[in-house]
Amino acid sequence: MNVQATSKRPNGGRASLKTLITVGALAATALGWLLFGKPDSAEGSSTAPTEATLPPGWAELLAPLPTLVPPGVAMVGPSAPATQPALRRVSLPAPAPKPVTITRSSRRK
Amino acid sequence: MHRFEFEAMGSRILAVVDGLDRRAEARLAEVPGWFETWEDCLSRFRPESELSRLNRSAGKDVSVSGVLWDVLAVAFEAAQSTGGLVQPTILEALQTAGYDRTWESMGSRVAEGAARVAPPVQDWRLVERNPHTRSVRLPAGTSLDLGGFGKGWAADKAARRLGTAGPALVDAGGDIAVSGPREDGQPWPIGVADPGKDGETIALLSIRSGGVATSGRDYKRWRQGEVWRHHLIDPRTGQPAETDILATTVVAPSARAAEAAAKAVLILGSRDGLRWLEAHQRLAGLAALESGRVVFSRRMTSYLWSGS
Repeated sequence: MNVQATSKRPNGGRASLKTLITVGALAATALGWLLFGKPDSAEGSSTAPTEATLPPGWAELLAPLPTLVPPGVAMVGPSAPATQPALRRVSLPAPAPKPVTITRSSRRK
Repeated sequence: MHRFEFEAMGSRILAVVDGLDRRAEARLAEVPGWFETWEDCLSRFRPESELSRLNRSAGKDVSVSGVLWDVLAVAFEAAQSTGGLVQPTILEALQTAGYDRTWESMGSRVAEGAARVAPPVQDWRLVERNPHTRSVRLPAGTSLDLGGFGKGWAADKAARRLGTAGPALVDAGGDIAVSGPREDGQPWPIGVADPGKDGETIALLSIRSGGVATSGRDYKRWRQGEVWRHHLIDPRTGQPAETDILATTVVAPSARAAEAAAKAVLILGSRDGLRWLEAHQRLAGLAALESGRVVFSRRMTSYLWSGS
């Protein structure tokens, strides 16, 4: 009887440990949400990327790819040519007029 | 644009006045009368024409009208400027070759008799002209043909007269004169017939002033015995010219100058004819050869329609 009594450990300590771990995890999660769940502010945020901080050449890589542009919409971005090609005025040769008369060796008709 | 077409001098005549002025129609209606008067004076086929009477009066002084005097002057000027290649004293040679009737009456295109050798062509410089009495003396045995000279002169004269009613063009059987540019300042478009293909053209010319003429052996030709003949006599031989040119067209300061030059080029042949054209600053031309090729003088390119 005594042996049995001495081999058993009390259950209250283990439950307390489990509760402590659970509460700690919840607290850490809540703290993380508090810290990282807020929107970035314009100032003071050191994590938002800016052009100034991009490595050289990245801005061109990230620019919109050239594609068909509807007429009348100006292209923007580094890929837009500095000067648009000028339209050339093309004049088609005038059709030959009908001759008023035809010269030929002398005859009646 | 007002047009009037009729037949005279054995050819189709076209008179045109550009613009919408109603007076032009009345002026155009006078043109057939002018040509009838001139033909009555200059035709070798009308026995009572002034020219026929002159030809029958060789060896005598004959007073002539202003028209005959002027056309004789054109003919002798052509003889002078072509070194005698084109001259009026070829009538006997022409008749000997078989062209002794109007073209219309040569319906079968066969001349009577066998081929004959013409006597030498009389020297045109032996014809005497007196400007004070306006009289002419032909040497004995000499007779004149003024057919081509007359048409060129008539085209120039009619275009000048019509020019008082507006910009005018006169086409006398292929000898064409214009009085100046058209009403809008543009040149006259004038086609050049292809002598090898009926109804087709080989060039389109733009002419502002002066004249254009075509001379060819593509139409007026006939058989005499076993020999084919045509009406363009080479005075050096007295025979129809032997040449590689089928037809030639010349642009000149007047229709009469163009007509004489076209004949000269055809008689000379393409090689010497083009050289002769290049040597005359105020002439330009093209030649359609028997081979089918068309050759141009350098200055002719400035008269070809460019489409601009």
